[in-house]
Amino acid sequence: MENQELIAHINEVLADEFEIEVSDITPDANIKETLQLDSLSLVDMVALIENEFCVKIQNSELPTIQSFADLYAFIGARMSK
Amino acid sequence: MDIQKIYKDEDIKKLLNQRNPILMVDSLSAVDDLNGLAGLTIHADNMFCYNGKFTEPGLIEHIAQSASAFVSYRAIAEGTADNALLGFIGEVKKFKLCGELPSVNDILSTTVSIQSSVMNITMFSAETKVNDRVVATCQMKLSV
Amino acid sequence: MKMLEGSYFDVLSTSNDNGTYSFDIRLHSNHKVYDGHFPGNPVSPGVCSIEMIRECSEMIFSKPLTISAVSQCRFITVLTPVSYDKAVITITPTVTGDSIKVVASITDGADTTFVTYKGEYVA
Repeated sequence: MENQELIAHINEVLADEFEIEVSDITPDANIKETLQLDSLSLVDMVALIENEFCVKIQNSELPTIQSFADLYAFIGARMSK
Repeated sequence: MDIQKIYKDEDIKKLLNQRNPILMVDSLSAVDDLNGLAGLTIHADNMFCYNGKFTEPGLIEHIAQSASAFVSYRAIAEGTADNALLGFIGEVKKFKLCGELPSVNDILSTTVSIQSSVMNITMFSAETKVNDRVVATCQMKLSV
Repeated sequence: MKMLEGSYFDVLSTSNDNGTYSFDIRLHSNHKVYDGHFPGNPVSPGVCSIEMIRECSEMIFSKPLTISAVSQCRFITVLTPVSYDKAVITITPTVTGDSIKVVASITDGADTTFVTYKGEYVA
């Protein structure tokens, strides 16, 4: 999958699940703030990403994923392996 | 992880802190690392029975305790706990009742599957059957 | 169905504001469920909150209701009959054919929310 295509796909599934507009998502924005995640919905996001993109996010890796750009890079790196 | 052990009768109290009248699981075993199988025989004096039927809150409590018992099962098997962990329901999602409520003397059989786990919150999906009929499905987040 | 009303909780008063119903309730700390939830540490079971919302909904519609679905129910603050013996249940129903959808919450009547609930009943 091309990078732009992957980013569009990630934005689409997140916007759909958390009921926001794709246009609300910018690479530098903070994920938790943009999606209004609390400790419960954070689990929803992790499960959604893991299922949709067949990747595993370890608890220890979560703090490294703050912005959407971090998330794109994380998924992109895992999927190309 | 040793997944041979089957907890039932008095042993189930090693996996759950709930006691009568709200102990809603009477057996638990593991299918594999991520899937547990719990059971409950519905007795007439169950606090969630009404007019001979086991009601919806009883089903939800049974599913929550199935998940909670499986979390304790794994922790004990992995050696990270000696006793039952105290678990609370954080969220119930997509609970669906399928057809008739179970009746007194029915035996519930519930599969709980760990979907994801972040910090102290574990997300499960669950399916409860009586014989081969699905009576309820549910997604749940448990905070332990 | 009165599985819990009268033993686990009492309804003190009800009101209706434009289709949103409020029930002021009192929790009984001596209900037998606290013998087991948990011994020496009474915590109101989440599913009893779900049942209270059902029983109050039945009062609105004056008929028995089956919980056919719970799309989302979140337990935000732990409710105990010791720290909070009174609470407010708010229910906004929408009727479509045989199905009744409700959005409900249980709060202390001020800033603390215990439960938020979205579900569906069939009569």
